[in-house]
Order: sequence, then C-alpha cells, then structure tokens
Amino acid sequence: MKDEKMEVENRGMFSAAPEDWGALYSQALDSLEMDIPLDMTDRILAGLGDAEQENGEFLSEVPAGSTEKTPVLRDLPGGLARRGKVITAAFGKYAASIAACFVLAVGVFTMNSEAGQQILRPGSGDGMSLTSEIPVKAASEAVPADRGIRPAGSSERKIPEQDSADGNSDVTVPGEASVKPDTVDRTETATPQSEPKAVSEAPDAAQGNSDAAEALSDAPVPLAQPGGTARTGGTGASSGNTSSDGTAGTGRVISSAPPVQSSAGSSSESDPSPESGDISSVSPETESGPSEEVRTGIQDERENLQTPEPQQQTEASDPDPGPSYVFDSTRPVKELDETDQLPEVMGYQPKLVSPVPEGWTVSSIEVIWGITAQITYTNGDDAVLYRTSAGASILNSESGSYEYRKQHGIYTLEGGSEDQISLVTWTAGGSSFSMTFNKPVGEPQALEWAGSVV
Amino acid sequence: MDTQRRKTEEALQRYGKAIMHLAWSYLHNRADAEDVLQETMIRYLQSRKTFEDENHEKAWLLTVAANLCKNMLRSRSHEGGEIPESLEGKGIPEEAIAVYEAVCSLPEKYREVIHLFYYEDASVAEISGILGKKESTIRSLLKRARAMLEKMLVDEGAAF
Repeated sequence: MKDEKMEVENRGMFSAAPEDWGALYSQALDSLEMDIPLDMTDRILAGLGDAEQENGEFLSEVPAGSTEKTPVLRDLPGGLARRGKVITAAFGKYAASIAACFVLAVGVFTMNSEAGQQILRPGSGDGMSLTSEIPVKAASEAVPADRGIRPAGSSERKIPEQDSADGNSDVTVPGEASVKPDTVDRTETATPQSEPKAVSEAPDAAQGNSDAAEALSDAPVPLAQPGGTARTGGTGASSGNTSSDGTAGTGRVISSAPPVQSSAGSSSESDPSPESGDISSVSPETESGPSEEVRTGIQDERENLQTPEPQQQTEASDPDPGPSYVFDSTRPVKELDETDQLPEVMGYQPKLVSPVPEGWTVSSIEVIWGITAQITYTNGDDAVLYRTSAGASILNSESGSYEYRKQHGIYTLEGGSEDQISLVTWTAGGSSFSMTFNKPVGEPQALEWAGSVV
Repeated sequence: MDTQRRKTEEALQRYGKAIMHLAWSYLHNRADAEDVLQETMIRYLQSRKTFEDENHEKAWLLTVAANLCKNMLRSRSHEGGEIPESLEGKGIPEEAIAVYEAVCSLPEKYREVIHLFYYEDASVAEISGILGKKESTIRSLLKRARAMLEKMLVDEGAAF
C-alpha cells in the first residue's frame, strides 16, 4: 500500500539525470519536424536577387534571373527604426555643437600635447603595443599625435598641414530637426549648455586620464544624411550583429586626441538594413529644416559654442519610450562589457563584425557620445579598430591623410600602398563605418574585414 | 545560376536543419525560423567567404543565424514573446517535453548556450566562437543555465 502510494506520488516526477537532458532536449526538438520548405532554395535565390538589386554593391554577385519578389525579413516593426531616425535627427541638430567641442578639444589637446596620452604606437618588432601610455612629446615632433591605431611603419601618412577644419571641407549638417521626446533625455545632456563642462575636462583627458577628451577629439562630425534612404524593407534582418563579448577597460587600444584632423568620409549608399540602415536613416521630415554649412574652424566653432542652439521639442507622437540609456555628458565614452548592450546604449543595433575572425577577440567595446560604437578587435599582436555611427559621419580623422587611396565599391581604402592599407571607410544604409588597422594589411584582407561587417 | 542553386541546395541540406532549430530555439515560431534560414543563406551566398572546413562553415552560419534571431527578438520586444509550440500528443516522453519546456523558459542568453551545447553538441570553444563571447563567459552561462534547469526540473519538480 505504501509502495503504491509512493508510485503514485512519483508518477510524473522528473527523474532524468542531468547528463540525459541534452538527449531529451534534442529528442523534443527533433519531434518538431522542422522541415525545410521545398521552395526554400527558390526563396533564397529570389531574396538574393532582391538584396543584390537593392545593395548593388561590392562583395556580391548578382545572380542571373531571380527577380521574383520574396519577403526577406524586411518589415521589422518600426519602433527601432523610428527611434533611430529621431536619434539621428537629434544628433544632426547638435552637430554644430558637437563639432565645436571636437575642434576645441583638438585645440586644447594641441596645447597640452606635452602630456602623455594613451596611444597605440609601434612597439618593438613587428607589431604594435596594444596598450601603452607613452608620453607624447610635442605633437609636431616624433610621432604625429594621431589616432590610436597607426600604421606600423610601412604605411606612410601624409600629415595634412591644415588644421582640423580644413580637412573637412564644408561640412553640412542638418539644420533644425525635430526632436521627439523619447530621445530628449539622451540629447538633452549633450546640449551646448553642458558642453563647456565637457570641454573643460579636455586638458585632463589630454593627459591620458579622462575619456572625455578622447571622445571629444574623436567624436564623429556628422554630415548631412545621404539622401534619406529610409525604406521599409531592408535586406532583411540582415546581419549578425551581436557577436562579441569583450572586456572594455584596461586593454584599450584606441585613443585619440589628434591635433590634426582631416577627413573625407566616403560616401555612397547601400544596403539599408534594419539593424543599422533603416533605423538610422533620416526621413525627409526630420531633415526638413534649413541646412547649415559649418566650417569646423576653431574660431567658427567657438562662436557656435557661445551661441548654442535652443533645444526644440515636438509634442510626443511616439509612445515608444526610447533608449533607456541617458547620455552622460561628463563621461562621453561609455565602456560596455558585451556588444549585446549596444542597442540599449545607442538605441539601435549597429552593424558589427560577424563573426569575429578566428584567433581574434574583442578587447574593448565603447560608445562615444552615445552615438558612435567603437570596438577593438585584437589577436594579441595586431588590432583592428572598428567604428560605426548612424548617419554620415566622419569616423576617422586620418581619412584623407594617406598617400594611397582607392575606391572599391562602397569602400574607400587608404594607406601607404595597395599592400599597406591602414584604413577603410564606407557608408551604407544610412550609417557610417570605419576600420583602422594598426598594422597595414593588403587590399583583400582589408576588404574581407570590411565585408565581415554585417 | 545553376552553381548558385547547387550551392544553396547543398548548404541547405547540410546546415538547414541546424539553422532552423537554432532559430526555433530563439524565436519559437516556424515562419520566423524560416525567414532566418532564408536570410542566413542569402548572407552565406553573398559573403563568398572561403571556409577552412565544414565546422568553420557551420559555425559561421550559426553565428549569422543567431544574430539575425537576436535582431528579430529585439524588434519584436514590444510585441511580447512567442509561446513555444506544445509538444503534447506527439508521442514524446514527458521528460523530454519537460526539458524542452524548461529550456524554452530560460532567458535568451542561457537558452542559446544550452541549445548549442545540448542540440549541436558544441564545445565551449565552439559556442564561444559562434556567439562571440569569451569561453569563460560561456562556461559561466552554461553553469548558471544548468542550475536554473535543475531548479525548474528537479527542485521544483517538473509537472507532467
């Protein structure tokens, strides 16, 4: 009787050993009969044709035929897309101010260039010292105090003689853009009122102690959006993005605070994919205000600082609460532990290198000013700095300073020669991208890295 | 075109099931899983990547698929999650159903490692490569995931 009772009690009780759980799970999953649809091949080929037609870019071969339209994960809910648009618009609104901070930081840095700064510099031997805090002497001597990752010897850079402003020939920024309440928190803290504070921290940062100047000096200068390529369907949920996890912090490879800026973001448009493209494209309505040409000369920017643009708010029309991250203007560089955190901080899923090449790991993940993702990949000897930002932004001020420059599809390759590529920049889907190699690589490698951003 | 078709069919035959199941483990929705499979294969064909071997190729595909699934989950975050398809009445042992449901109820970051570990029989290093996380992170996630499963299945007693 007692045994019977026990049996009843035990019936239905889970008793499988943990080592069997895998087999049980597999058995259950297999029972789902997840047959691949018979027309999957046709759907894929048709989708490929669509994607190629829409991208029309490098690294793809347009298959013959395949004109049939097939839904390819295109219509993702618009929450993120709307948010991305608003963020981009808001960023455009303060572009002049951010540019001003940037230029002022450059100026401050130049004055303080005696101080040490965290910079990646050629180490002994073949590679680079990934992390080193090396006192930099006057910017005009020794190593030109440029970006963190620098070409290792063989790739010679032309150091532009002009100051930071000149390289950026007439940068156009969206003039007035409506700011939806859901991004106010994020943008409000970056209003001009708060910028002087951030700028005032630049001297410390120039000594390698604060992230502020680094971000200021490397903060992307937004340009006008290329044509508002918003679309409701991208190449689908495209790309794998959240691919890496890394530890930010001590192993920071990148630093900046460059006294010399010249840049020319490559521009062309393609592949507005949902994770970065759609959501970051600026719709016509958000760019409807008068455009303003901003010369990033120090004087001009100082004037801009003195006359900050009043913040505009429109009435709430989007119930979307927006990103939870509130941008802290006193700490413009936010270090993250995992790339999975990027959407929360940036408000959209930026494109990332995916998968991270074998032997490489993510050594740091940062978001600068809440708008530029900066991820450093390293294999122990070499490092690759990847940056992306919504909108057409100048993400690497070395652009335009190399002797060798070649356009390859959407990619602009720069370096000492075709075998010594140090920088790749491109825009796609309303976002800007840059990839800097501390040790110059050949064109195929550079393109492979850039092509791995999905 | 024939080459593309052949390549697609081969890849589908080789990896289609793994991708579908991985997508299912994230999305719990057959149509979405098919979309992820489709998009993953498009990426595969576009990439023109040279793989070292089949494992490398599979890992790449699973990485892309996993990321697509995560994107999809995020885009769907305001719509509420999918309820896993019930396995009742399919002639599966109840314990298998219990494990499946317990895995499905895990948070995403645990579910993905458990799926790869249990279903794909992937090693910690392989999971690390696929998900782009450090091996120590994967070990930690696996440990916590199994502890959570144990709590659900053993301590609290799976109901069936």
